Parts: sequence; structure tokens; C-alpha cells
Amino acid sequence: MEISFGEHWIEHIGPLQVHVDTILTAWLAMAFLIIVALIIRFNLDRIPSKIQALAEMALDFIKNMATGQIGKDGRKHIALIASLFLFILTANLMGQLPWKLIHLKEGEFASPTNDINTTAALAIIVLIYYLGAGIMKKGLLGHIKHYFQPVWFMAPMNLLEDVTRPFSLALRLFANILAGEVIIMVLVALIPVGLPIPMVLFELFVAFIQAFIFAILAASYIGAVTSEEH
Amino acid sequence: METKAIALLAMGLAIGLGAIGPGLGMGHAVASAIEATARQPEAEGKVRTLMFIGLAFLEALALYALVIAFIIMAQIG
Repeated sequence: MEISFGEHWIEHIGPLQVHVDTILTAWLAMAFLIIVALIIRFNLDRIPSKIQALAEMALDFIKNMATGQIGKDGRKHIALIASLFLFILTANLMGQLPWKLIHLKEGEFASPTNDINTTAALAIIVLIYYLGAGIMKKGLLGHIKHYFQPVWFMAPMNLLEDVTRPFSLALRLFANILAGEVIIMVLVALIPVGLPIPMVLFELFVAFIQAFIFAILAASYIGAVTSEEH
Repeated sequence: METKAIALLAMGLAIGLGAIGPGLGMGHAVASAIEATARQPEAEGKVRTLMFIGLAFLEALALYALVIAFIIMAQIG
């Protein structure tokens, strides 16, 4: 049994390199979320069904997270934070499905988040969103002013933060998911029966924690640029 | 051949040494969180949230080391 990772089914479209497996699984995660959301939306009831109760619980959880980090403005930004949380959670959990049964030309289906391109895209969305949120809230000058807080010579540090934040967001999620898959692969290569099961269960936990961390960090970055006092 | 051996050694050292710091840090963080919860059990939810955020930052350091190890691995391919 060989151990391989980071291989993707690459197709060339013009000058672009496309990781087909990543895109297919990402679309699958999105389709799943949209279909579940539509099912819940058209079956709304005064007495919630099980799935509606679950959705309400998730919304409450995310609402608390957003208002905890951003303050009472949190409800405005809930769309982004909830989308990030649900998409990353679905994407991470998808990696534990038995994709190995489907044979591809190259690489294999796995979590879309085990590709750095997916996580980098998510991190860049967060960067653009929180810069935009800061400028919308305080105006361009007000936003630039916050780089010179608490004292003027902190400006390079604060500017550098806008670079390191998306980097660490992208790398943290990517490395966590990839490391989990590599560890399971190694365990399967050692003893295929039984031994990987605890690790798979742990990966389910990691999938939740990473989605939570990504969303809560996005919320706290938005909170940092939109807060009044510094 | 020599280069490859050194690269393999560097790969092992990168993740091995890189895991020491975050390991100590995470131990401290979790110990403090448990102590805080034991002193004030009603604050458990808040402490847990803060602990997980802190742990994610610490864990990221170890994962950067892992990324470096992967990069070295890709170099020797």
C-alpha cells in the first residue's frame, strides 16, 4: 500500500489549471447545503419538525457566535459567517465518506478543503469582506486611522496583520484536514482493520472544530475593524 | 544521495522540533482552562470557547512546521 497525497485530477482550460476533483466535491457540498436549505424553507411550520429544529439550533449557535464577537451589529454579518461555517463543516465531513470506491484518472475525491486553493479562496473572501465592512462602517479615512491605533508606529504591524490573517486562516484549515487524511492513510497502511476507526471519529470532531474556528476568527476580524473603541 | 538524506533528516526535524513548542503551549493552555473551570464552573462555556480559539492558534504553529515538511518532501520528490 502506497501513501500518496496532494495529488489532484488536473485538467487544463486555456491558461488555467483546474483541479476537477476539488471543484466537483465543492459543488457537491454546495448543492447539498442548498437542497437542505430549500427543503427546510418550504416546510416551515409553527411546530418544528426534526430537521427544522436542527436548523434553528444551528442558527442560534451561529447567532451567539456572531454577536459574541462583533457585538450587537453581529446580525448584519450573519450571512457570511453562517455560510462559512456550514460550507466548511459540510466540506470537512465529506472527506470521511468512502470516496476510495470511485476510481479517478488521477488523485481521488476527498474533502474540497484538503486543497489549498479552496481554503485560500475562503480566506481571501474573509479578507475582502472585513476590509469592506470596516470601510462601510467608518469610511475610508476612519478605516485607515485604525491602523495607527494605539500608537502611530504600530502601523506596519497592523498592515502586516492583514497579510498574515488570510495566510494563517488558509493554512490552518488546509493543513488540519490534509494532516488528518495523511494520518488515516498511514494507519490504514499499517493495520487496515479496526485501527483507523478512532482516528476517523477524531476527524469528525476536528471537522467541526475547524469549521467553528474559521467562522469565529472571521467574526472576530470583522468585530475588530467595526468596533468603536480600540 | 547525500542531499536526499539530509533533506529527509530536515523533514523529520522540522515537524519533530516544530511540535515541541506548540505541545508545551497547548498543555499550559488546557491546564489553565481546566483550572479556571474548576474554580468557576458556571463560566465553563465561555472558557471552553476561548480555549479552543487559543488552541487553534497554537496548533497552527505545529501545522506550519508540517507544511514546511511537506514542501521539503515535494522538493526531493
